[in-house]
Parts: sequence; structure tokens; C-alpha cells
Amino acid sequence: MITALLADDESHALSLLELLLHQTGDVKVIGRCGNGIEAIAEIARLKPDVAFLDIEMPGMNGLEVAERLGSAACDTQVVFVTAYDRYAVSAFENDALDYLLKPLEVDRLNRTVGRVKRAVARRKSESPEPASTSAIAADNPPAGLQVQLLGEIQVSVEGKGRLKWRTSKEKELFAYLAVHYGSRIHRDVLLDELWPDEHYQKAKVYLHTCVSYLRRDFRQMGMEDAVIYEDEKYSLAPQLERSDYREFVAAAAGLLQTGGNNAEQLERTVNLYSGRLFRSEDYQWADDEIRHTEAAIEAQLLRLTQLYEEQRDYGRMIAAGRRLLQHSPYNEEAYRTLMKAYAGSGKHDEVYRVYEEMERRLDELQIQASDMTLSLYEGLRVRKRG
Amino acid sequence: MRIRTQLAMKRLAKEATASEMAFLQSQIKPHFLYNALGTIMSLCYTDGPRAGELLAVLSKYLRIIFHEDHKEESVLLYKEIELVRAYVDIEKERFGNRLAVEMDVDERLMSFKVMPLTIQPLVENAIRHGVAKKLSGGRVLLSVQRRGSEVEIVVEDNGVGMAERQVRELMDTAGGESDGVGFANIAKRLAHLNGSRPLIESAPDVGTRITVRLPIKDD
Repeated sequence: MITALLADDESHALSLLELLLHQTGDVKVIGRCGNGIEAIAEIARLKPDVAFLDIEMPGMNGLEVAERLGSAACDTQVVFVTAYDRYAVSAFENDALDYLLKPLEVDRLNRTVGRVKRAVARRKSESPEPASTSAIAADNPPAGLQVQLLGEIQVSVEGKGRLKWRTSKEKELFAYLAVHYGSRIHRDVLLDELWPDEHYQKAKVYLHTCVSYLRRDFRQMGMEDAVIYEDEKYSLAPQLERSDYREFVAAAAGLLQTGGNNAEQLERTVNLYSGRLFRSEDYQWADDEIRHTEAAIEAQLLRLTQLYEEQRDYGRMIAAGRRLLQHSPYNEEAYRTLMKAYAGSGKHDEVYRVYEEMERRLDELQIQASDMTLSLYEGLRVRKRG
Repeated sequence: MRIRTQLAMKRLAKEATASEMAFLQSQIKPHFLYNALGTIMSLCYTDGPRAGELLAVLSKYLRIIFHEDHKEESVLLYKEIELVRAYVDIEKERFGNRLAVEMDVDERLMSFKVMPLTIQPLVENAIRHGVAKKLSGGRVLLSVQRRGSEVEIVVEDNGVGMAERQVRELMDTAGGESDGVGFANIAKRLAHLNGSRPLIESAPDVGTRITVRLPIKDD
């Protein structure tokens, strides 16, 4: 016998469903709720095998209930019930075992009960202690998981390949949650940031779809419940905590603490930076993070050139200066550093070439080199002649 | 030449059917019908006589919709109010004591003619988007009163209400060339009729009040 909980804000609908389920002889209804909030509490208390959730309920609708259950590592199967078009439901199929359309048809209901029976039997045979195994799986990310946000956005697991995004918004949602890892993002904030021009209700549907895409795609990579939903807020699961972006930010913070006088530590940090955050995307919500990381990498490279200059290690100073130029091709200070480095290593023709390159670049902006740069260049030339 | 005329007529007929269908669909929303049938189905097992009554009410609702001449620019207020009553009866059965509806309609206006399908969609919105979304339910007040040469329709609910953004979106769709149903459709026809706009007052957790003024025709 399967135990079931029913949730619908219409009592006639509850009565009919209970009656028809009773007639199947396979289902025992152990609870009835009039709204989604009650349903959450009752499912936690009664732990039914299956919950039949009406989609249109006040307070918390059936989709939100299912989403909440999905992130609570709960064993209750979900079946949606709705008078709406089936296409409106299909986007949420991932969160549910099945869906039923109102008015109910007995044949269709029997098929659903069959599916529930099989799912319950399968689960019972698979996991004698479902709670403990899923807890372990949730804490340990799969071996070789890599989350890359600097440069191109990429998620990969060794042996399972790269995660393939179904839609660009799915990718953007992931990027948003990954950059803000550690804070739980309210649904309305996500709607405003990712779908600013979309109507509220439509945007909500899009968000739901993206969340369920993400969950499904991560499940295929061996990770359950990648997206957590709680109190109308979204966040990524702890197993997705690590990303190259967060590593870089942490390393940069570490530098600030030690004063940034250790060239090795600086090198390690700049090597974590494999490109501009979300390089190929146009995420306006990320403007601040992009600016901060770009400013950090420039400051670190500049600091590196200074350290190498003090150590008279001109080879490394040139390498760091070149990298700095790649980040900021209009930065006069970078050209000055590079000129000093080439002069220090005795490559005076390179000094001239760097100067020319700078003039060309500054010319694009129709500005002239500052006096400071000019006098440095003159100084270096005089030193060469003398 | 004759072929071209025939083709043109055929196209016109097709367009007319399409607009007629769109019109019907805007009135008989599938989910409304499905929910009504689901409710009646349930009553068949528990309260046969009530199921019969409700079938009669649903038939009446459908008859008004089907029989109305949708090209008519005005309709007896009496007919509009009948449609509202049928709709409300069905919804009250569905939502039980979570829905209360009060109607304050000036009986002297019943034989006047107004723009058709204005009141029922507003009441429907108040129930579906206002009261039904609230845990404890709520009530809808419909008032139809004469204001000079106009009739003022006020539909007020104490449901979930709307945030500013939602009100703005509603007004935006109403202002645009939307062929949407419900509110947008009413706003469009109203603008066409006398250039006026519906007034929306709403606050989250407080409720929504929509006020529409229609010119009345006496005949």
C-alpha cells in the first residue's frame, strides 16, 4: 500500500482525488492540506510515499513545494495536478514523477499510481539507508570537479566531460549563483538581474525552468541537488563552493594580509587568473566583480615588476611587465616599467620599440605621453650614450 | 477578377472566424471550464442535486457567451450581471468559504446598455489573481452605480494585491497594441470607446480596486 498526501485549495478537488485513489486499492491517503505551506509541514511529519500537489495554491504553489522538497533530500515522490495546459507543467517535469490534468481521468490516474508504485519499490530496494548515503554524496564533490568562471565559463568533471548548457540563461543563472557563492539570492533579485525586461510571472517561469535544467545537468555529472531553494532564496550546493574565481579572490585577499612582498606568492596568485571574469559574456550585473578582479590583477602584476626590479631580476620583470600590458594596453606605467626592465637587461633597441608601441597606443586615444614618461625615456637614452 | 473577389471573401470570413474564436477563448478559458467540470464531477459522488444545479449554472454561463452577438457594441447591463452571477456561483462552489462576493448594483440601470464583457472579466481577475492567491481567501465587492451620463463600475477585493511593478506592467500591456485578454482587452476597448483608462489602485497584502467608467445608452 502506498501512502499519499494530497494538497489542493479546493475541497471538492481533494475529495474527488481521494475517492478515485481509494478506488485503485493501492493507495492510502494519510493527509489532506489546503495550501502549500501546510503541505511542506505535513510531508515532513507524515513522510508519505507520494504527494499529489495542485499547482495553483495560495501562499506557496505546488511548483514551489516540489522545489523545496527537491532540495530537502526528501523521499516523497511528487505528482502535480493542474487544470492548466500540460505545456505549462512540462517545464517542471524534472521536479516531479508525473502530472495529472483536471478533470481527472481514471485510466490516467491508474497509470500514475503504477508509476508511483514502481518508483517507491525501486527506491526501497536501492537504498536501505537513504538518508546517510545521500548525506555523504552531498558533502563530497565528485573527484576532478572544476568550475571555471575566469575566461570562459566551464564546469567539468574528470571522466564525465564538460557540462553542456541547454540555454544561455541557464549558464547565466549558474554564473550568478557561483560568483555570489556564500550568499542566498532572493528570487526577485534574480528575476530583476537576469530578466529585467520580462514580465514578472513569465520571468518566474523562466527562472524555474533554468533551475530545473541546472539540477538535471548537474545530476548527470553525478551531483544531486546542485541548486538549493529555501525561503524564496537560491544558492549553490556546498559541493560547488570551489571555483577558479573564488580561489583567485581568496588568494588576492591573502596577499593583502601579508603585504604582497613575496614574489612567489604573487606569482602563484597571478597564475590563477586565466582571463577576464565571464570574458565572452555580457553580464551587466557582474560589472563590479569584473572591475575589482581586473584592478586586483593589474596591481599584483605591477607589484611583481617592482619586486623584480628591486631584485634586479630583469628577465622576470620583463615577463610580468608584458603580462601587465596585455591587461592594460593604455597604461603608461606599464610601458615605463617595461622600458626600465629592457634598459636594465641591456636591450636598448627593445626600449625604443616599447616606446614606439606606447606612442602608437596613446595616439589611438589622441593623447601624448606624460612628462614623466618622456623624461624617463630621455634618461634611458642618455644613459645608453654615456 | 471573380476568383480574386472570392479569395478575398474567403479570407475575410476566415479572419472573422479567427477573431470570433479568439473572443470566445478569452471568455471561456479552458482552465475555468476544467475546474468547473472537476468540481461538478466531485459533487456527483457527494451531492448529486447540487451537481445538477451547478450544471444548470454552467450551461447558463455558456449560453450567454455563445449567444451573445460579439459584434454588438453594447449589451443590456442585465445580461452582463447575469453572466457575472453565473460565474460567481461556480467559483464560490469551488473555493467554498474562502470566497465571498457582494454585489451592489443599481437595479434602475439594468435596462441600460453598456460595453459588453467588461464586468465579468474584472470580477474574474479579482477572484483569480486577488482572493484565490490569499491563504485565508477574501471577498470581492462589485458596485455598479450611475454617475451622471456614465455608469461607474468598481471591483474591489481584499486579496493579495499587487506591487508597483505589477501595476505598471498591467498598465503597460493595457496601453500597448496587445491583443491580450482580460484587463488589457477591456482597456483597449475602453480607449477605443471614449478614450478613458481604467483606474487601478492596489497595494500588496491589502487588495486591489479597479474603477471603470462607461457611457450609458438609453434605449
